[in-house]
Amino acid sequence: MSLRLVEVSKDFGSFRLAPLNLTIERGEFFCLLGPSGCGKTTVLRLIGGFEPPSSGQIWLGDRNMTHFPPNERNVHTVFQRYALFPHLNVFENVAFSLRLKGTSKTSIEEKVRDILRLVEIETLADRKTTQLSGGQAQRVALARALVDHPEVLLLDEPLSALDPALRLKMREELKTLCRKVGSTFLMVTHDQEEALQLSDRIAVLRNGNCLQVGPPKMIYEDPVDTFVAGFIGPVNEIHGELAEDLGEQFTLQCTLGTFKVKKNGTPLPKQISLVLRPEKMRILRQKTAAENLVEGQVLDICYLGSRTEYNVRLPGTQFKVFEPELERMKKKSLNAGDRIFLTWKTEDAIVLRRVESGT
Amino acid sequence: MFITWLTLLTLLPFLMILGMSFMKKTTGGWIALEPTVGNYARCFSWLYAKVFWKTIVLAGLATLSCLLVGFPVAYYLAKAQGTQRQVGLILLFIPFWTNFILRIYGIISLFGNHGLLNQTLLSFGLLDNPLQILYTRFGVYLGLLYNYLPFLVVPIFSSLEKLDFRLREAAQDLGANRVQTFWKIVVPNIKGGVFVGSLFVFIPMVGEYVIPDLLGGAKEAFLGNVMVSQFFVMQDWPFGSAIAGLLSVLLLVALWLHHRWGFVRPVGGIP
Amino acid sequence: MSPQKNLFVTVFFYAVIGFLYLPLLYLILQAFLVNPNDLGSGFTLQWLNRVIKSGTLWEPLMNSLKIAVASASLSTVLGTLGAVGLTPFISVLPVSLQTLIMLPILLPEVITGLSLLLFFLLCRVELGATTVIIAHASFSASFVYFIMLEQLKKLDPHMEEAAQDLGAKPSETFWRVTLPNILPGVLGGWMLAFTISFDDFLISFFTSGAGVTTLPLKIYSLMRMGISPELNGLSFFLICISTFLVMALLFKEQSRRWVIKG
Repeated sequence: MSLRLVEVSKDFGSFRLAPLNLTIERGEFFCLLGPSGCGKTTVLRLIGGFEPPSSGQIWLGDRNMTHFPPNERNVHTVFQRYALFPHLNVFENVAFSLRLKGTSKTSIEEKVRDILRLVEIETLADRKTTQLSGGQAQRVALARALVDHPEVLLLDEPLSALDPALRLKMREELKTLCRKVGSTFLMVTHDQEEALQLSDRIAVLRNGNCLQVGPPKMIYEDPVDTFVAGFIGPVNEIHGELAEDLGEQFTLQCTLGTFKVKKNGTPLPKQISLVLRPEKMRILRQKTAAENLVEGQVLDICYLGSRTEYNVRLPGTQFKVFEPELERMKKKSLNAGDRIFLTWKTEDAIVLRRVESGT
Repeated sequence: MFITWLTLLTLLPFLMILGMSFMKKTTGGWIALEPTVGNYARCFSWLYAKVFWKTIVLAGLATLSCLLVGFPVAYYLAKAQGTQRQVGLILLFIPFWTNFILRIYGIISLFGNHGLLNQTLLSFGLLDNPLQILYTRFGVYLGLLYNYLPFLVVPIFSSLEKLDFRLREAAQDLGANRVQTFWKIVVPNIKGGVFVGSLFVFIPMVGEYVIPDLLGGAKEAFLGNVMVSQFFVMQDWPFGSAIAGLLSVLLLVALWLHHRWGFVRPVGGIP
Repeated sequence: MSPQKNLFVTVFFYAVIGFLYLPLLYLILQAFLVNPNDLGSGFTLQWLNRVIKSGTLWEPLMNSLKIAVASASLSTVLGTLGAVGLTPFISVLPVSLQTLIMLPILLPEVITGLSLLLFFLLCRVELGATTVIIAHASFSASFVYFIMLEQLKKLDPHMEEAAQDLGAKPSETFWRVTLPNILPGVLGGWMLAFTISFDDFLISFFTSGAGVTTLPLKIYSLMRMGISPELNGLSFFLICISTFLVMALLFKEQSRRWVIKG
């Protein structure tokens, strides 16, 4: 049963969520990614039933649940601060939804124990919710939401309240949980690393608009504009004008020089942006013949073990370049102030129409 | 939504009540049904204006005294920690939990002509005649102070508590002496709470009935007493209602003032 | 803080406390004196005896208790429902409505008492215990409302959403989730309403009519007749009960704190 949003929009007066169309397949791990205020939590709340949409419909399978109250949707939410019931212990918290349905005592016992085992907190069943650590509370929230096998699980920045080490561990566990349980997981986050690691597909939102939907690789390598490109990972940007048409390529004219730009099949305006990922650029200690070459000066160096990050000053701008350790150790070491050359393969550069920056 | 309904049901009688009293006063009431403003005019006549003035002045004095006495009390509580503070608070509030009338009775016993105070003073030969405290303005003042003191201590206390004492240290670190610290740091930050607290003490004081009645006698009537006598003794309900209306207006004005000025929350450093 | 200042403040505090307790302590003392006005008249229990034996004080006491319980329950229900119902809208509540709810607290008791009297007369309702209960309830409901408002603020706002999310209808959410969590506040509110009602004089004075006497009213009428030893005896009992209740409450608070610490 897939979750479908059809032209769903929400108007808060001060904030508007533009009409959104989304189809999420059963069992998918889907992320809503974007900066704060982009509307991702709004989408979550619309699906959960806590706000009515201003327009559009929400379908779960063949049921139109647009106007269903939260308790009639087969959708459960894990809240950012977990919202556990303080007057009930762990077991009762998890059993809550089952008790409402009038499930038999033995059945409740079995199902609750099962889910507690799945999230590895079996021993905490009798604890009071006020005596749990952050990670434990989160597992209880997950158990509570999953115990009756909802179609869709909504997660509102579930990992943001955890410390970094726990966060990394929980990421993996969430992915495994999704596969084991088989429910659709829809997660809201502003952490692009999280989204990249966990999702089957990502939707990038900004200012109430959905910019792009696709698998992580696509978002990373084929972003639809410079905002998405910059949000999903570090970027270097060159802005310029398309000059000559060379058949399969264009030449780009800009302050840094003239470069080759690959045609990507879409019609491009004259003013374009070229997005270069730091890891796709190479530092040359000497000038060589290359398609795309820029001279610069090393500003500072950051050795991170598996790779080294360089800030390179170029005429009018600054670039970030990553050099993997395997390459760096074969070459001459660099120091701040050294003059070097940067190059990249034409097909590694992302060509985009120019978009105004700023959230 | 049906919940709001029920609240309305409590408020509705109330609204009606208020409306009722307003209606009553402009129409003739028992006498005739002509709406008149004459009642209100009477309120401003010399006789009643005097009572009005006296009520306000005495209530004001009592409020001020509560402030002066209450401040060190609140200060002690704010400075005290843990059990000491708890004990202090408990002690302060036990009298509050005893019956109001009883407390007045206690004051009468103590300060009456045959009361303990006079007995002691007489027996020690410090006085020839008993000191007349009851049935005087001072008696009423004393009653007000006694009853309302804890009420003013609480807001001062909570303002002081919220005041970050580190602000004082910061001021002293920058060179202010004790007095300066007090005026420039402590006072501005607790101003809000103090003002609100005073208002919440002053207003009920103005509307007091029992204390002036029991401790003041016929001479020292407050507005409240005059109002009641209009209702029950003079049978002039409209006029009584007019006084009530006037009093309500006064209080609403005071409230509005509070709304404009009073919500000064103690903020770290910048009032 | 300088030690002298410290000392001054401490001494001042206890002096004020002394001042507050003096009348009450004197009353207690008087209860045991043969002649209440004469300190030297000797120690006796006769007045206390009289109070217990005499029936005149039992009836008002019972009345006060019954009325207090009834009005406390009524006003707690009203105030709680009001708070629960209005919390979601609390930020957009118009000032007029807010003032309305605060009205019973702000208006002097004389005015509320008189207006309620007027109201009852106009509705041709007979004055009696019921009118007193209604009057007390309307008055204390506002207090309960504000207490409950504070209590509700402390609740996790997402808790009710979580309950609904997991399948609870609005009524189920209230009974299974909201109520258990605000119960301590509800009880506190009930106790406050009870105290307000039991202690109340002025409003009862206006709305009770000839038939019903509450304890404060009885005390008042006795007082008008002058100092009476029986009154002193009664004072003794009442003061003891109040003190005992306060101690009991605080003891409960304390022991709860010790349990949490331990």
